[in-house]
Amino acid sequence: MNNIRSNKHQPTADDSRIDWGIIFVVLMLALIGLASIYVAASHDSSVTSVFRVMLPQLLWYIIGTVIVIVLMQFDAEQLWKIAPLVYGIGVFLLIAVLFLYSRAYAQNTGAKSWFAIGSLTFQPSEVMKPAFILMMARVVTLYNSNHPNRNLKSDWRLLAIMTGWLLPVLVLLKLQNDFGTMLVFIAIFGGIVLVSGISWKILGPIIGIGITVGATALTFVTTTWGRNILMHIGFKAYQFDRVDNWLNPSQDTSNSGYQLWQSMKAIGSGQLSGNGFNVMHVHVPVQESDMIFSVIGSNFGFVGGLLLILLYFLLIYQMIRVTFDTMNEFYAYIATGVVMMILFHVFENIGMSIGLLPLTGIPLPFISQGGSALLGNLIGVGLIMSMRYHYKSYMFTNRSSFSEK
Amino acid sequence: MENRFTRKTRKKKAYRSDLPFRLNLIVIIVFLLFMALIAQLYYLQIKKGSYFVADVNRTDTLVETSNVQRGMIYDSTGRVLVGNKASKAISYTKGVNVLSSEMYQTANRLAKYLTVSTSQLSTRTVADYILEDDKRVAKVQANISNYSSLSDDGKYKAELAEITNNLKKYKLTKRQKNAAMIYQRMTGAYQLSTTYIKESGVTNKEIAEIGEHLNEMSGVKISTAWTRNYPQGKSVQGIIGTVSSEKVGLPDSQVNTLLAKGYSRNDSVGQSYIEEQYESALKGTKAQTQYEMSSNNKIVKAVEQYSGRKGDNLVLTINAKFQAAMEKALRAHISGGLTSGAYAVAINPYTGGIYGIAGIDRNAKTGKITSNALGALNQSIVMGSVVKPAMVAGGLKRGVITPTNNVISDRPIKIAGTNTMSSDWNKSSVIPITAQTALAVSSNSYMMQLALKEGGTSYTPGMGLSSLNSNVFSIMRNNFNQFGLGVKTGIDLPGESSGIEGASGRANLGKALMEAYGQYDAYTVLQLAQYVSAIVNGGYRLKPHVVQAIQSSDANGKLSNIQSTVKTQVLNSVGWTAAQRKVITEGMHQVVAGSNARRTGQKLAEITPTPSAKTGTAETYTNGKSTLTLSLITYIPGSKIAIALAMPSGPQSNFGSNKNLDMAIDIYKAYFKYIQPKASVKSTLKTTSLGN
Repeated sequence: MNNIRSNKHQPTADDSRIDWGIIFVVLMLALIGLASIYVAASHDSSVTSVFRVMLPQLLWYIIGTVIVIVLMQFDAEQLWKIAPLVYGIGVFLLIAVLFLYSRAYAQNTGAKSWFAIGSLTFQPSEVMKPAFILMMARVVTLYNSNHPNRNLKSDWRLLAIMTGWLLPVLVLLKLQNDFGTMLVFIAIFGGIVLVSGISWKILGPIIGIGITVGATALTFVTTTWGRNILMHIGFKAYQFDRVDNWLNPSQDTSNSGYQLWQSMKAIGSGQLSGNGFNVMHVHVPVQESDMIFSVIGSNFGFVGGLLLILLYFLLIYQMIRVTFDTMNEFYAYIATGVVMMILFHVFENIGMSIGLLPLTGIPLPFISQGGSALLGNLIGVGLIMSMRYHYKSYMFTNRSSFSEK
Repeated sequence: MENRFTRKTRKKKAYRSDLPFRLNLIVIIVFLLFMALIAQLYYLQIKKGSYFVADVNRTDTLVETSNVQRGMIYDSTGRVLVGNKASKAISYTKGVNVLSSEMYQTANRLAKYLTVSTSQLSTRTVADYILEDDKRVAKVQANISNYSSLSDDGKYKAELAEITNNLKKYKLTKRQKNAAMIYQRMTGAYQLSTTYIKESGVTNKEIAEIGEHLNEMSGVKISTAWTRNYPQGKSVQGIIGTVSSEKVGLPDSQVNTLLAKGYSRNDSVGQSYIEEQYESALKGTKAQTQYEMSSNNKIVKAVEQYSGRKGDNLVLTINAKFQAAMEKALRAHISGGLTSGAYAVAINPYTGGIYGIAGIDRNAKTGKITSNALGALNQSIVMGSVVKPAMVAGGLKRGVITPTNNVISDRPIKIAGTNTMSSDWNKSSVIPITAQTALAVSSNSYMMQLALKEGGTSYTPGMGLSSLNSNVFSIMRNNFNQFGLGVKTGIDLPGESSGIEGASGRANLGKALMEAYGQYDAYTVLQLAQYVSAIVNGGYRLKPHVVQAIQSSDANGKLSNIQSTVKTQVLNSVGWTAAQRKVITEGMHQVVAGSNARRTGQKLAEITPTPSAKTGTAETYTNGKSTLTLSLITYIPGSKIAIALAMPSGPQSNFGSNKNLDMAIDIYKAYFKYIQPKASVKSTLKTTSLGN
């Protein structure tokens, strides 16, 4: 921890511009991830060679590291410039995948979210996440600087503009049938709205309404009378399956309920300190990707799970610290977006593995198998790293040439 | 314009001064959400951890069973009636956690070398088979509107419906059909159970090719299948019954019962008669291997619990050659006209063991004759005068006549409001006769007067029946029942009839007189056999049986140790005295060898030692025409045979034709030839005579 820098420290050497704290956490997560995938793959009867599962993941890490290094070279000005470009490219890819999606993957997962070239697969919505964060940060910063005297009316307009940038992404993801990723974008959006400076007089009622609607919906889907009403207005019985599985994981263990119950068994049987490395007594479907936390929970128990969550907290804390250190509004929004992205992934993934939340196809950042998700998260890390790398220049070089277009 | 990136630090400190607070709010939210995760983790791992550990350590046991050869059936002389023919077969054992896609691949591979009949290929299998093919699935899905909005379950159903509704669009080639049929057989198997993919007609080429590629097809084995064969011809099949084939599986009517007993759906099971009755002995015990499965669905250990045991063999009391001769006798003497068939049972009256059950059905229109041995126990026939010995016994037991005082005058009987009824040989006179003579000449009048006496009244010409006890039916029937007439005999074959009782209310009281000489209730030939046995053996109603013993087989498949013998089982005693019984046996002796010229069984005297008998002739109506049913019960004192037979619905010209006697004569001859030599009958007559 002592290498977390505060802005009170004098930068002394070039290497101090590199945030070793974040690198340390990500490296730890990468090692835990590789070990977990090794365990999952060696207990998966459909995997013929563990090496062939591990190698791509390692390669993605190397590719991701290269991208992080490249991204660190971008300063705020350059990030500002490329934001609309990457957002545009992202939207283009999201449209393209609707036509060129991999039929085989769609068959397996029900979502048209993957490109596939041979055995290589790529999910554009994953890299869309950092692009969306950049764009959001730019939009809010630009608006705030154009409206130094904020009032309720201008805040409403900001909210409308932000929503305007969110909607196309949501529509495209809906068309891909990828509900989980939609939630990630909503979480990012929500986080940035919260820090964008919009008045509490607007946020308060919105949060209030959100909680009320959520609680009402929960009451409706969890009670018999509520369901009867919902079925009258066109909901179908199978749509409650997911809720049922979540409420009573041991009840229907046939389809997705089976997956959840196996995961809960694996994690629960880990008890305090786990069964030990590479000892799996329970078969959990898709353990390498979405259900990877069951490996950690089973092998290292409550202690392992706690340490992992602490590691994530440390990562998020450091990211927020960077914004305090840099004192830069644009950076603050980017960091918030990245934090929200990682937070939502961690919370939803671990939450669903332990029966706290309903199942969705959301991977665990830096740990789950899967190249595009890892890339998306490493780009997020790269953005934060670039802030630390460049912020001194603003402190000591009084640049004012960067102006609006 | 100022630099917005540095604004905050340098100039407008007040601008966005709430940003740090809001960023801290994010940290707080992160902290709270992570605390929620930790709390749930704590609940799952610490609070409920031991519960999950117990659940994980739980193991399931599964038992794999494999079929064994069914027991064979032998006749009383050791000839094989039903054997097992071995044929090469291709079988499939479904492993643990085998996916349908793996079976699909195995089926496709196997289909390269093996051709099966696709006549039983189901539409559902065709659909499932197509759905295993990724390319075709995509096509199917493309043809379903709003596919992506369906639930997983709904998708599968929609896919099935799409294929089954458009079978023409999703045609299978001949090769694919073959593979689909194999796939159908495979998917029909339970985990760890073995099913035949092809059980007969597997060519040597197929065996050779499959043998070479066995290791590519997990679960496929070359094995042996057994089919029932009948070396003595199929005439005995009538009582032996049939076995369901593996293809057909368990019969629908009993499927749940059998599943509960541990059968698999595709097991073969005895479906009728002996095969059904003795199923538990014949089926043997399947080999059992117990697998212990972890909660991970992996096999922890496999223990062979039982190596399996071939089904036990049945040895029948039936003598196959004698049985064939019986049928031949029936065929030789059956009459024409409307005759509907002829049925005979030869029984050992001292044990209830049946030597032969023969029966033929005759199609009255075409005259075609078919074997139906079971007719002897499921055809209820109005038998006529053969019941008279039982009627006399009833009168004796009730005390309305006695062994020393039993003379009643034979004369036409006129009851008010009915036609006059008389014996065939005496339409007008009044002739006093003893009970013995009444049997010898088959006096209907004597029996009717006995019935009146049992009903508490006696005959006066033109009398009404108001004085007759209305319980007279049950009095007579109770007596008949004790001899086995009108009740199930208890034979070890399913499907016997208990006969037919006519209406017996006050309005039908007049019919009681007809009941007295066998013209009312209907009985089976097997009931007659039980009845005559009771007369022969001193009054015991014995349970008839066709199985003599259950024996295991030795290593060579020959009969070995006796597992159990069917013992003689007395159902009830008729409850008469020796003197009363003597009246009956004397009467039946006089039927054949008496001095009265009108005796009805004279022709049987051809046989030595002389049989005793009681003939029956029932007047019946068939298709509106008056017909005659001939029946007979007969035995040779001192021998071990009693015969009962009946030929229903023959022409009127059968009266006095002695066809029933001719049949019995042929059967006696066959008995001496195949079962008991004449010489031994004479000697037993002297030593074991029951003194009739």
